[in-house]
Order: sequence, then structure tokens, then C-alpha cells
Amino acid sequence: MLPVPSEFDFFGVYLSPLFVSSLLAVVLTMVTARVLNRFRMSRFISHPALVFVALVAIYTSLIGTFLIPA
Amino acid sequence: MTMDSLRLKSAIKLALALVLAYWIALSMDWAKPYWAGLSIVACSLTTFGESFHKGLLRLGGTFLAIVVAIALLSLFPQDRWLFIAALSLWLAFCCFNMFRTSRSYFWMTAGFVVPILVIGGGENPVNDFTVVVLRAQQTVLGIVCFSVVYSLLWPYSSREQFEEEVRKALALERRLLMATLDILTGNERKEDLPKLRMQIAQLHSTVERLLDAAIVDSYDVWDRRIVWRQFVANMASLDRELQRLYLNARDLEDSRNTAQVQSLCSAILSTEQYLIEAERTLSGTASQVGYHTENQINQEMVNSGLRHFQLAAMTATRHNVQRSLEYSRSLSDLMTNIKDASWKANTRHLASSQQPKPTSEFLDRDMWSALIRVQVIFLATVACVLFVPGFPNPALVICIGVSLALNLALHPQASVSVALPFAAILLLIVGTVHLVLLPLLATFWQLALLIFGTTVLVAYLTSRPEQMIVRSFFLNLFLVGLQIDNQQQYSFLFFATMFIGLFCAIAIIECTRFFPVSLRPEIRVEALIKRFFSSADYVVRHSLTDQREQPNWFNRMRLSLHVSEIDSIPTKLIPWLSALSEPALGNTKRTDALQIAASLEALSSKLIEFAATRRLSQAASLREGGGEAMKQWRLAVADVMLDIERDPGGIDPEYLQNRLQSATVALEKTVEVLINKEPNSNLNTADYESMYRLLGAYRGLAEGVLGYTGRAAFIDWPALRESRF
Repeated sequence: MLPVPSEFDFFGVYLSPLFVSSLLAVVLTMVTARVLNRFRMSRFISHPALVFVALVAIYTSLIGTFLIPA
Repeated sequence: MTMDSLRLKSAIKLALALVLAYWIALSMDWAKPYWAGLSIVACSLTTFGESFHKGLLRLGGTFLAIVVAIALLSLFPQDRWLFIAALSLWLAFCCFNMFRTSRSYFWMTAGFVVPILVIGGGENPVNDFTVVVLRAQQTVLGIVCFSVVYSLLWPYSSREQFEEEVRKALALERRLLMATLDILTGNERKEDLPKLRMQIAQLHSTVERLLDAAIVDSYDVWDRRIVWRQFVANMASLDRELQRLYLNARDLEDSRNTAQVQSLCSAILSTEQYLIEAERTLSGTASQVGYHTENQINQEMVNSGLRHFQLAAMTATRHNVQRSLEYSRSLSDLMTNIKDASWKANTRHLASSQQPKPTSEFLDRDMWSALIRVQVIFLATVACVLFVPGFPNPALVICIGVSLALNLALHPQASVSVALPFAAILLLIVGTVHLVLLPLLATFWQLALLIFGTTVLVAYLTSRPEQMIVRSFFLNLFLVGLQIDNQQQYSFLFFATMFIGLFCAIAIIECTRFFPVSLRPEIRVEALIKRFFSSADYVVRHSLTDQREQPNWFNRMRLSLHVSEIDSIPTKLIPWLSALSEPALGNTKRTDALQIAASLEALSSKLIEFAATRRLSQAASLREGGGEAMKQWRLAVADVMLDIERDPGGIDPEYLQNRLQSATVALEKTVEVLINKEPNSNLNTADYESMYRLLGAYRGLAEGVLGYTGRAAFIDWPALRESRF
């Protein structure tokens, strides 16, 4: 199969797979951050904002690779 | 008129104005009638004057934006990057001006309308001129519609409300005055001072806002506008003086029942009489002018049997009482002048007596932080639109992003992410109405009924001032979401892309809460406290004296900046403290956290008084003899400030009290030796007065620092500093 990017069909609105992956990644990161805050695990993190961005990048690449491949 | 009927009438007026605007726009075949609706929603306030004043600011801002938009489009039609750079500079200019004026809405409008105009034309630049003209006529239409409705239907003048708020402000100032009197007489009642101070601050900002509105819709206020502005400025000065008086009166607790304190109490009663007189004149129930006698303050200081620090506190308090008396007398005189139709204002004299603005405004760090944030939001949004292929609804994302960024410039503590779930629900409702209900409406009057009913319901349920943001949010989304036009289209795609666009804009704005300047409340609170003590340290070390050479321009600017920081930080701290989350507060009660701001406000007042008192000329013999001891004391206090700046919660109040007490005893001994050595004939009353005021200012400063450390002990600093997402 040719590696042609396939668009994501959201009720007739065509979205790029990377866009959908990053949206899901932001939501997942927010959930992760909430859980880490709840159990006071975030106190071990020096720069939470940087970790947030890093988590978004990690989740985006994971979702983009395994769930919504281009 | 009951509150409920007032709410209903306001809601009906807003709904009628909206229906009228839509009717005219659709009858004239003008596209985008919701632009007129947005103008009405943005400017719909309680009174006609307030709404019209805001409408004029929006109109002025829109016309300025139109000129800028045409200039940008004609100068850079083919050069994308120069165009973006010029637009970015314009936004920076608008943001800068928002911080320099009380009419910030003018600059906010001038800022966010430009992207709407230059991007609203779409890909074809030929449309741009049409869009610009359309925006102008829709804005004018909106303002004309609500002006007509608000002035004809149940007109509610701003003047009555303005005068009512002035009366309330004068009454609260009298309460503060009576609280001070109670301290001096020892009959202290339980007055919640932080709450009272907050009420007074809110009333002052309301009075300033309503004055602009009353000038617009009342000829009497317009005719006396210069005197009214002077009155409002003097009321603010009186408030500052009364606060200092209240704080200084606490230092006289051990000198009660002395002749000097009795004299101060009489003068305070005279001040109250002047305020009562101003209130009565305003209500039109004044009795004979000058019916009370002004009590003279006892000038006797030497040989009073009081210790030197008691005398110092007495002198400082007496100065405050004298100033309060002068301000209250001027308020009474100004009010008589306002109500006297035969009196003509001496405009030149009044205008020149207004206080000049500090020159270091352009160095305000919060202004620069807001400006950088606006730039980052705009550039990040543009970068997403340009470099992300198929980015949904780019024009909408840029317009929403810039509009929210400029709104947040003045309220950086607000988090917009909480709006996203509400926006999703609202879009779902509005989308259903748009797709299911709207196609069933056959005539304009059916549509009018829909708009009228929804607006009345929303405006009635969100009538309180603090709910205005919810009302604007709902009605704006409702009007934009309905997408009513002459050539009506029904599109699910619009709602899907609008939601995704809104999500992207909010995500970008949320990222700017962390980068480039962190705007998290727990970080801002400590940063502001550190900034306060850094400025306090500078002012204590470098404030000017009558003997010191005039510093160069750079150092004058630095001093002016630090004084302005000290003056403004306690007020800036309050919204950040209110925005602290429960985990960040830890074991701290929210009221204790707010007390930190109150203690800094007290210290700020003492510091400004200290800086002003140091400029007083001192007798040469006293200056030379006591100068070194005072310098040592001043540097010791500055070192304490430096310690607090390094660790705002690290100073033990008891240790500090002992440290300052020993320094106080040493300083008092030095002063005593000095005065005993100096023959009384060499020093006049003014010399004593200056020295005691300076001594009082030093003592006040130490008390202020102690007050802060006492409050800081209640804060759970580890919880505040704990890192969290």
C-alpha cells in the first residue's frame, strides 16, 4: 500500500491525521497532569510546563504511530 | 423601582435594540448584521450614559482601525511578512496605550478590529474595502439602535447613579474616619478594615467610570465636568490620606488621653463635618454654610512629657489629620461650587492642581508582559495558519485569538480554558437552533421573536455586573452562531470548524500562561511580593533628601519606577491572590492570603510617606548629629527588605521585632542626647516638626515591615511553592 496521507472524516469535515493526533494528545496530557496533581506526584517535576509540552509531543507521536497513522 | 423590574426593563431594552438593528440591516440588505448585534451586546450597560460612552469608544476605535487597515492593505498588498510585522507592531502599540489611559476600550477596539477587517475580506483583496465600509456602517448602526432605544424607553440617567455612588463613597470615607477616631479614643469597634478598604477601592473605580458616563448624558455634569473631575481626584487623595491616618493612629495607642490626642480627635470630627456637609450639599439638604467650627490642632510638642517616638508618631498623625482636613474642606467647597449655578469654574487653576502622572509608566513590567503575550498569541496563531496545512477556519482563529489576547491584557489572571466546555455546549445548542429551527422561520417577525426571547432570558439571568462576561460570551456566540444573513445558508461545517478553531485559539492562549512569562497565580503572587520588596529596598536606600544632589535622568527614572511599583503592587496582588487554587493555598485560609495584600498596602503607604518625609529640610545640627544613627537604622531596615525579597516567608516575626526594637531604643537614645545637647532657642517649631515627622516615618516603616512578616507567617509557603501542572 502506498503511504498516502489519509484525511480523518469527522462528520464530513476532513481533518489531517496529525491535527487529530495532536488534539487527542492535548486532552490525554491534561488528564495525565490532573492525575499527577491529584496524587502530588508533580512536586518532583522541576518545570511542569516543559513536561506538559513534552508529554503532548510523546502522546502525539504515539497516537500518530499506533492509533491514527497517516 | 424594584431590582427585578429594573433587570427586566434592561433586558427588554437590550433585546429591542438587537431586533431593531437586525431589522434595519436586513431591510437595507447589509451583510453580516451580527456585527451590529455584537456592538450592542458589547456596549449594553445599565445606564444610557455608560452605554453611550462605551459605544463612542467602540466607534472611535473602529474608525481608527479602519484607517489603519486601509493603510496596511495599501502599503503591503503583496508582502506577507512586512504586513504581519506591521500588524504586530500596531497590536503592540494598542496594548501599550491600553495601560496608559482609563479609556482602554478605545485602544482594545482599535486593536482587535484591524485583523477582522484585513482578514475578513478573504482571499480576494477587492473585497477588503467593502468589508471595511460594512464594518463601519454596522458598528454605527448598532450604536444608533441602542442609543435610540435606551434614550426613549425607560431612560435611566447616569447622573442619579453617579451622585448616589459619590454619596456612598463619602459615607464609607466617614466610616474609615470614625474607625480611626475609635482607635484614638480607645473605644475600638470591630470594623473589618480590609473589607472596608476593598469597598472603598471598588466605589472609587465605579465613581470614575460613572463620571465619564454622566458627562455624556447629563448637561449639568458636563457643564461642571472640570470641577467634578477635581472632586473625584480630591476624594481619591483624601482616601489615601485617611488610610495613612488610620495606620498612624495605631502607633498612638500608648498616648491616649493626652491633650494632643484630644486635639487630633476634635480635628477628625471637623473633617467628618466637612464630609457630612459635602453629602448634604449633594443631596440638596445642606444647612447654612460654615455652621461648624474648625478645631485647631494643638501645636504644642515640646515639654509634653511624651517619649520621642511617641512624639514622632504624634507628629506624623497630626500631619495626616491636617491633610485630611484640607482635603475634606476642599471637597465641601467643590461640592458647593458644583451645586451653585452662578459659579464659574476657574479651569486653569483646577487643571494645574491635578497631580502629574508618573513618568516611568513605559517601564511597567506588567504592561510589557501583557504586550509580549499579545505578540506571542498573534504570531503563534499566524504561524499555525501559515504552516499547518488545512488549518480550520484561519480567519476566525486569528480574530478570536487577538480579541481574547487584548481582553486578557488587563486581566492576566483569567484562565480561558474553563470557557471551552461552555462554548462546546453553547455551540451545540446554537447549532441545533441554526440547523433545525431557523429553516422553519418564514418571516422576519418570527426571527425577531427568537432573538428577542433569547436575549431577554439571557440578559435577565445575567444582570449582575460580575455576570457581564457570561452574558457577552453567550450572546456573542449566539449571534455569531445563528449566521443570519439576507442570503441565508445552513451549514454544519461552519459549527464544526468554529469549534475546532475556538479550541485552537484557546489552546494557544493557554500555552501563553506558561510561556514566555509564567502567569500562574502561585508564581505571580510570590514574584509580585519579591518585586515589592526589591523596590522597597531601593526606595529605602536611594530615596532623595533635601541635601542630596539631584540624580541624573536614569536614576530619577529608576526611583520613579520603584515608587510606582510600591504604589501599584498591593492592588495588583489582590486578583492573583483571589485566583489561587485550593492546592496552592494548602493550609492557608483565603482571608489570610488576602490579608497579605492589606499588609503590603499598609507598608506601601508607609514607604511613600517615608520617601516624601525624607525630602523635608532638617535643622543642620540635628542632621549632623543624628544623621549617622538614622542612616544605620535605614540601612538595617533595607537589609530586612532584602532578606524578605530573597525569601518572602523566611523571616521570623519575633526575631525581627527584637532586632528592630533594639535598633529603636538605640535611635531614640541618640535623638534624646541630641535634643538635650542642643539649646532649645536654636531650634524652632518647624525644625522639631520635621525631625519628628522623619522619626515617625522611620518608625512607621518598621511597623509596616513587622505587619507584613506577621501576616506572612499565616501563609503555607511550601504549598504555594510546590510545583504542579
